[in-house]
Amino acid sequence: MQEELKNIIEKSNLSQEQKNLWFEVIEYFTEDQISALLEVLKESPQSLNFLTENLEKKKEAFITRDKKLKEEILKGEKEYLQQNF
Amino acid sequence: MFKEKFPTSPIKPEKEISPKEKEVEKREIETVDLGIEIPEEERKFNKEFVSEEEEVLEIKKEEPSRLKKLAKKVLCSITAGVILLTGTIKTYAESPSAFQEMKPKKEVVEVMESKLSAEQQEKLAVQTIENLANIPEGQSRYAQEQVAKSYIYRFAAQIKSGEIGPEVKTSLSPTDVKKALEILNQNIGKFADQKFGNADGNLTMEEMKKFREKMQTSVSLKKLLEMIIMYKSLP
Repeated sequence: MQEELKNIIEKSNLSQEQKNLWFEVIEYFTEDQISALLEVLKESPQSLNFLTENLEKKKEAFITRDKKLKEEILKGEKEYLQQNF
Repeated sequence: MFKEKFPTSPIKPEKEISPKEKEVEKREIETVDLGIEIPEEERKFNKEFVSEEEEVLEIKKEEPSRLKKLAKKVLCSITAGVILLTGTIKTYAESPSAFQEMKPKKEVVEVMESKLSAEQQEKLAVQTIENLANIPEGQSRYAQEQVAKSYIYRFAAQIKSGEIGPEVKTSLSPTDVKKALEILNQNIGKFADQKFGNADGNLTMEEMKKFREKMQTSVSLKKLLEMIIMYKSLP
């Protein structure tokens, strides 16, 4: 399942840096989490761009502990869920 | 010279405490055992992020749409993954609700008692931790973690089978790995004392500082600590 997800990411139009970030983070995912991500991407392929942006911002937020960025991320997540599901 | 005692055995509470207090105490012990110091500001930020995200996404609410539920799960998984990725593993222990999905699947398996004596287990554990500490750092983080995992699984196989050697092959359940990680955790102090001190059961402040630096910078030792915390949740 992890290979399937990696293939989807590899074939996407994300930059190599973004792909590498995904490969690093999904190493921490369980099968269940990978399965959830696969299903979301199959049903909503456009989600990959939002989720990538979300991943990048979270990485920055946890490193810089930027509260403003945290608010921005959470606001974006709420809007994403409202608009797409 | 002032010497700091490094705990090598669980600390027992002196008085009767509530389960909640017990949980807090357990985490404090973990902090000492692991020798990892996460700045208060960082811990606070991570904890707040996780709980605010749960609130914003209404994680505890019944969700009629399956896909929306999955999307929420993905967003929380990304948060947990990023926290682990950026190395702030202490939050993992402090925010169990957000990390439930990251924990190994619960599986109740009867574990056979190891045929190795306590002394053999201890020696093997210290050797395994040393092997982890000696994994070359020139490789990628991913490669170092894979090698670390293979050492840990090999140790678990040796404990389970009672055979010592690199070619031990046996099937491992999560409970077997948990047991092996507990033994490794109990021996981190001994490893520190042997490799950074003079094996007298104590570490000076300077020795402790060097040991902590090693624990914080070594990818493989961080992986060990991460697995110890992850597997602690298993029954």
